[in-house]
Amino acid sequence: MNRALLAVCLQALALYLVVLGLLHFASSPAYSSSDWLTEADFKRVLVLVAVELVAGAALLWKAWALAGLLLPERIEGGGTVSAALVLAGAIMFVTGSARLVSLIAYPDPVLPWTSEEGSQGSSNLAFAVVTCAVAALAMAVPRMLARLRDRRRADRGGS
Amino acid sequence: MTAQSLTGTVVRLLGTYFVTAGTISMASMLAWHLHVTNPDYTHLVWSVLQALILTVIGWFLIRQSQWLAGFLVRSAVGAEVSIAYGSLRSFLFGLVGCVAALEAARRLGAVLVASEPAPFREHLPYELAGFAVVGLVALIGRKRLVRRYDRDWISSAVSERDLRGIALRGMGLWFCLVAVTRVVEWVATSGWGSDWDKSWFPTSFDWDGLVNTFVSGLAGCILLRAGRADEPPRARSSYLAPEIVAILLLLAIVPTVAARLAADAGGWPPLMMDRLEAPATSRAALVVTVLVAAALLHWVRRRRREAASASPDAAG
Repeated sequence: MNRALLAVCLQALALYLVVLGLLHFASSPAYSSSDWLTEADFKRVLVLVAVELVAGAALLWKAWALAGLLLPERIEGGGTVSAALVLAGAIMFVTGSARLVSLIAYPDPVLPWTSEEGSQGSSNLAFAVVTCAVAALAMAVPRMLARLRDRRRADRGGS
Repeated sequence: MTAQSLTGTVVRLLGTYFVTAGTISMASMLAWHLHVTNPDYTHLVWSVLQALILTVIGWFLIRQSQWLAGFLVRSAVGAEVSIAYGSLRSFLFGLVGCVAALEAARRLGAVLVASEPAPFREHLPYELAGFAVVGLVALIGRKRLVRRYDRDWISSAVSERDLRGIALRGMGLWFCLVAVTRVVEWVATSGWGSDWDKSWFPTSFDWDGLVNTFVSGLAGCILLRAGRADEPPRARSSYLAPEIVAILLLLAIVPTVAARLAADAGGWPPLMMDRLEAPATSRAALVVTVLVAAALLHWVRRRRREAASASPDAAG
């Protein structure tokens, strides 16, 4: 049940990303001609959208396999929380990695929420890295816990 | 239900969301361009086109949900999926808790690793505490809440129709509450009762905001009605939709309120976020939103208690 629920939610997330990605690509001429977006900003947005689009398409295609891969085969007790944790991690991972790739491609010298220019590029990159790391950890936790539980049970059985 | 019907239901709901969001966006964009003195028609065409494409894609998803679901789950077609009310509820609460906890962890990591600017760094612990509190309440409260209700109801299976009704009503309630919060914000800005004759709305009142609110409220009411007509009585009495919406509202607002109060108390400079920069108006709207969400949760709890005490088991 949890695998199906997770797979369906992952597909919904993927579909959302693909639709919005296509939409942003379709309207990119409007962004490129606007005066509130610099050329570097525009390119960064394009890379961001491209990564989201690719991630969305891959997720759409392999959601069922991914759900089976990330969730432990035998879920006990907190199965629904495991599924929720993987989904939350996947959402964060997609947004974080898209940001990371776009920042690597076109480094951002200014953070969107500060007027201090020139010195914040590294922290913005660090923020994207932290996001990816937290998300990857969240997705790996259910399987890690299940493996730990199995090992403990095997040790107890052996003794 | 089968895996295909579950996917079809979710695809249809996503389509409903796109249609609603696209319509709201289209209406407010048109209103804004009609209102401004020197409209940029290129921007208007692109914006409306974007919203129109979103609406059309949404409509396509609704119409072709079953075909699309068959295409997406072809490896698992025919697999029976049985979801109980308790599991669905536990999953949704878990998702709210996990998102909040991960957000808190991400921000904490950013403070530790990155050299953030001073105002952001000073406010962060309060936002972080807000997220952590909401996340913990959702995760810990999940088990207690599930345990409290009628066991028969919690273990009964969710049908495709139940799921569709719950989600439609939840979406409708969300859009309605967004509209209500905006109206409250305007009333607070206009200074209720002080200058009633001059204008009910503030002088800087924007037409796109009015249209946005009106269409949001209308769409919310339509979705609520559609969900109610679609939903069987058993699912309607689950009150799952208002409960999740209230939790989501609290998740979205509590960290902001915490940061705002901290900024007020410490005399710190405002953040670059719209809602925090605004004066008393937004604060009033934030507080009202929290109160609305808390009242909604209280109502759900009361109705559930009444339903439990009126059940045959309780009478026996």
